[in-house]
Amino acid sequence: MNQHSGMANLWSAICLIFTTSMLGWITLRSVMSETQRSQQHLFAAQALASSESLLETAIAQIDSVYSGQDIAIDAAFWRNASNSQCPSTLASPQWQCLKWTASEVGIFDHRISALAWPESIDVTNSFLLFVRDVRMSPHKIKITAHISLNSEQPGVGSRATVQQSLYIPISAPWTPPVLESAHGPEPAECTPIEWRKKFGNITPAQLKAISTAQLQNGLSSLSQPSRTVYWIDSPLTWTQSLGTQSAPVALIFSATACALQCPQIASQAAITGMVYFQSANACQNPVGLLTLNPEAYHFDWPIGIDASRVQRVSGSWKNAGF
Amino acid sequence: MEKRRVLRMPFKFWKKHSQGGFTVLEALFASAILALGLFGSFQLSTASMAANQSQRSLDIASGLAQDLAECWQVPSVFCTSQFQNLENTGALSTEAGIQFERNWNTTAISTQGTDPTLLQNLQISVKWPSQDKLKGSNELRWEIRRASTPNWVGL
Repeated sequence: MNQHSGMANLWSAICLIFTTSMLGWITLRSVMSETQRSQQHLFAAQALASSESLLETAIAQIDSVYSGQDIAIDAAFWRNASNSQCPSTLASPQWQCLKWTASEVGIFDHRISALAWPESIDVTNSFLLFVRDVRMSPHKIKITAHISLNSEQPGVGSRATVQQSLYIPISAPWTPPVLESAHGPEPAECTPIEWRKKFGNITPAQLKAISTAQLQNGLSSLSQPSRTVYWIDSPLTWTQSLGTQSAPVALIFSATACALQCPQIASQAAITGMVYFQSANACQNPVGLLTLNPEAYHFDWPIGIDASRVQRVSGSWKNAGF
Repeated sequence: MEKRRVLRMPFKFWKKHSQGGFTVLEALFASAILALGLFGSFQLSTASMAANQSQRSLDIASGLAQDLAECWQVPSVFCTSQFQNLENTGALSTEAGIQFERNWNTTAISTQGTDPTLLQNLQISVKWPSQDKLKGSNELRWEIRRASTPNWVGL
């Protein structure tokens, strides 16, 4: 009996030590997992701060591109855009997407400066994505910044995505034209119509930029959805039918096209929408066309906004997602 | 048969003399195991406390840095007054018995042809003494950028 009590004591001591060690180990694991959770939280916050930095850099870049320059810069900025760069949910040709990665440094137009990437990010796994709808809202760009922290950061590999939308001065808020008195004399058939009466505050340069953007993105009369703004510099006779009742177009023959004589519209060409000749001597809306005031250049702007400069769209900041 | 008897000999001998010797051995074994266990347990506790303390300091430091970074982006009277100068060095604050030193400076980021006021950079550094005296002090660096592009808030 005595022989066995010694063994039992020894066994009990071993069991107690084992139990205590196990409890200690579990406590350590618990503390360490809390520590790790806290670290992950810090890394996520660092990644978020870096993604915000990249987003702010991109906003400043857009502001710099569109401020104080001819709106024709729009075409230069979106030169390398393509629908293939869009997320799969934005596959329609109305979406224009431009992805900037570090490897694209140096391919910008000379008027666009290179992007100053934040130092904390791994440029090989980070990108900026600019997206806009060239048909419905070419004046609104959604910027998405996706980053991964580089090896100099404690949270190497941590990722974050943020996005924000901007208004760019490619159009202006629609203001209804001042109508002449209903009792006044009817204008003669060939009286030129002032630009402002048709297009409100939107300028010819802006409408030309929208037309270029739609063309650049592959929109046409046959695409789905179809192109809505046509800025024509050619003096040749127009032979193509455009527009539908549900999607009327704006067809503008520029001062260049009308330099000598405004282009003719062939009799077989049916235009549903509005035709405008940028010439003091041309008839507006020739007989035989279905004239509808198209929504092609009526874009959604907040009331009272100063549309002449780049501004953030209020409430558009979003963490993560495309 | 003979072989089996020879093998039993040491066992019998052990059993015969085990009343006195086994208690000492038992005590030695138990003490050694207890000491080993307690040492391991103590080491685990020390390591977990050190990790916990280190992480707590890092959390406080990141809190101080994030607080300043948030403030930089808010045009309130208090926050604007904090950034009267382009830099601030040696601001001390004691949290949980540890003294943290917070430094920051703002710079304009300008690439060729861009307006230098468009993009600003805030660099924050928070330092605090290390538990390991040989290491000196720990440091957390935080960086954030801000574009001056306004936000349309409506009428």
